[in-house]
Amino acid sequence: MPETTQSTQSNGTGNGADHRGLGERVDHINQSAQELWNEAQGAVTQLRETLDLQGRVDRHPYGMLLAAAGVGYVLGGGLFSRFTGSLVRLGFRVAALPFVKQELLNIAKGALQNAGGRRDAGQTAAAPVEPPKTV
Amino acid sequence: METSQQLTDKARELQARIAPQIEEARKNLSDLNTRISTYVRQNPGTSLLAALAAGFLIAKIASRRW
Repeated sequence: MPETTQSTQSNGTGNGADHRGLGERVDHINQSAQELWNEAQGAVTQLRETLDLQGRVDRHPYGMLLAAAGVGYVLGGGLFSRFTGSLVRLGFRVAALPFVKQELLNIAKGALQNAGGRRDAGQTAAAPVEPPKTV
Repeated sequence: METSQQLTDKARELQARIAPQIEEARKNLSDLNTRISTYVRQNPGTSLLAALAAGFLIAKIASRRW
């Protein structure tokens, strides 16, 4: 009988220690999870403060929308498509338009000046030359 | 002289007819701009995600081989 009692007591003590160990582990896991959650929240808050999305959207709402659409366009794989090529070509043409216009104006001005100079030269050549006066 | 007077009258009439419509369109556009800006400022996450999705869809459609 004493053996049985002893074994029961030892079993009880072992179970209690196991329970305590398990409880501590659960507490530890809980604490770790809580710390991880806090760190994640802090990181998100820090990222949000760094990016300042709210402020940027407040200042330039349309610009931010366009930027987001651009990011989506790149993520969608539209960067190396024909459509992008056409857009880029169109952009270059529009950007080059003022220079081309200026060049054309310069050429036209030069041509007009040349034509005017020739006309003057022609008139001078066609004008009657006075004969040298003989004494 | 009469023709010029008629043309002037017609131009004035046209201007009187079109001016209110232009003014209304201007007001409507201004109102739309205010509403869009306010919505974007109040819901930045939703708006940016919607713009991102729109860009993504446009890219998918544009890169498709026809």
